[in-house]
Amino acid sequence: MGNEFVFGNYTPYNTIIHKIDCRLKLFFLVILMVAVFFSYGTFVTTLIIDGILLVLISIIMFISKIKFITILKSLKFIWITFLFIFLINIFLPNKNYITIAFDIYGYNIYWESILQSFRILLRLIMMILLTVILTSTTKSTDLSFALEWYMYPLKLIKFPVSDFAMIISLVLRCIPLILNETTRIKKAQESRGANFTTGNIFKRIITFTSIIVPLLLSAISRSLDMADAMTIRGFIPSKKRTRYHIYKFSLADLFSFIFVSGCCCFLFYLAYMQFDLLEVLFNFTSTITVLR
Amino acid sequence: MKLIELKNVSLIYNKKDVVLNNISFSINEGEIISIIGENGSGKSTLGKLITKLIEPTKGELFFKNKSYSISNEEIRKNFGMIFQNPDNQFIGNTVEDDVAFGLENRCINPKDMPKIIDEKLNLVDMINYKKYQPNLLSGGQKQRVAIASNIALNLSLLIFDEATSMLDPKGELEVSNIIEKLKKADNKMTLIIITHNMEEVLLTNRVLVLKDQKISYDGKPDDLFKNEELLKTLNINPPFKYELVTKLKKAGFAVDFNDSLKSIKDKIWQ
Repeated sequence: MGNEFVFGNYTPYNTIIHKIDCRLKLFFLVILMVAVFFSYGTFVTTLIIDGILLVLISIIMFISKIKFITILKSLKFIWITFLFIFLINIFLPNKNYITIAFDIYGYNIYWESILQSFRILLRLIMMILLTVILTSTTKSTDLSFALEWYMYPLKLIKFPVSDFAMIISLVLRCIPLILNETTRIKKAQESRGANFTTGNIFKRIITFTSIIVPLLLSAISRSLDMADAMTIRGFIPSKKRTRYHIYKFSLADLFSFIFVSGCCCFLFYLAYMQFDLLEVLFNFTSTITVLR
Repeated sequence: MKLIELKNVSLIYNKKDVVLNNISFSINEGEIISIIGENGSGKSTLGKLITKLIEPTKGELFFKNKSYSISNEEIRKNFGMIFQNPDNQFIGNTVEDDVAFGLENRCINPKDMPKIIDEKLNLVDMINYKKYQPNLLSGGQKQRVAIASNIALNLSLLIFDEATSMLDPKGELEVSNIIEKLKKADNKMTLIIITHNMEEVLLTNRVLVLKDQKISYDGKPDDLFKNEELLKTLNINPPFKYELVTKLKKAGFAVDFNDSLKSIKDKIWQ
């Protein structure tokens, strides 16, 4: 038994975010991700917008009762990847970069590349946070319904929409199980003398295969068992099913739609206009001073 | 009336690995039977054959005297199975969603679902956990949800495939209590308990012992556990009470297999 937050796991609270219709939440995720990935003109403008987006995401997380610290803890395996992405982007050469920050044995590191790497990292974190908000406030069965609802037109070309939605729902359902299994296997291998914390990167990669192989085998066995359990309870791919939950849009859904869409439309406008926010602010304050 | 009948059923993998060899037996409606045997003797495979999760290489299976195959959905609707690992059979995100999964597959009217879900969760004493997620439940509780999910489908036959082997003693007791409840239920569901736990065999009226890909014993558990020679041949350890009585008898105590543990204790003191 345990009630700790697990990445990708639904947390059953009764917040406004939990109550928003699953189809709308999926739509919000997509448009907010687009907003996160847009460039808003200069580096500084983009960073300011990113900061605003991060604040907005943090507020949504606070309302949904998702703790930032617990997410960071559950993401500890990804930090290496983050660091790798950050360093790769810093060292990647670009002719447009001009402001030298450091000189490492004749290799120039530019301020632009540091800012760019920082932004990429921020984008990734925001993307993960948005996904966490969606998965921890929406049941996987609801998500499956939302996906099916959006992909409904694909049924015209005989795309197996409901099967695809069920696969996604089961994948989301299995993420916490696989993470638990990884920890269990890691501890088992450590008790047999495997060392995942010291040694060079190649040695560590080789040691990690002792986790990956049993994890893969256990995942296959788990999926076979799950398939049997589903078959025995009458699940037949592509066959018509009824739904326990009845989905209806509410007034709160309408307000949330107006708010999020409004924010995103404003951000898309900023991205389209490519303003220099500092210049705009400077001009604005100068105009006020002149007027005074 | 015969509910299930197996006639000369064999299962052979890769044309050489014989899992089950020419097995024939029948199960009557409302009967409660157990299947025991060593690891790899084909107990779970037999369960999967009956529910048609796999097809036999040879032989035929009958449901109420009607032959059925893997594609016969109408007949397969009558079968349910509780698997070993409680985590691998939890499909829904919450307890109620998991029970609803099977009902959705059977196209039950959503308006009727809450009543069925509540009724079945009540039966397994899980109604207070209706909104709970799987990670908040113990192994025994998850198995109880799996039982509720299966019995919600109005089954004729429910198979417990080593359903207690991954549970702690408390979880084992919880599942055993549910089996007792199902035995007393009005609809008289046929139960097959595949197990290694001999105490669970005592919950049933008939036991099948699988050995060397064949059924080596088919009879009452009481007769099997009293027969020391047969137990040795089949390599089975009897339940605690039977082992105790056998040893006490050998030591010259006037005890009987029908005695309760309390009366055995009293007889020893005398």
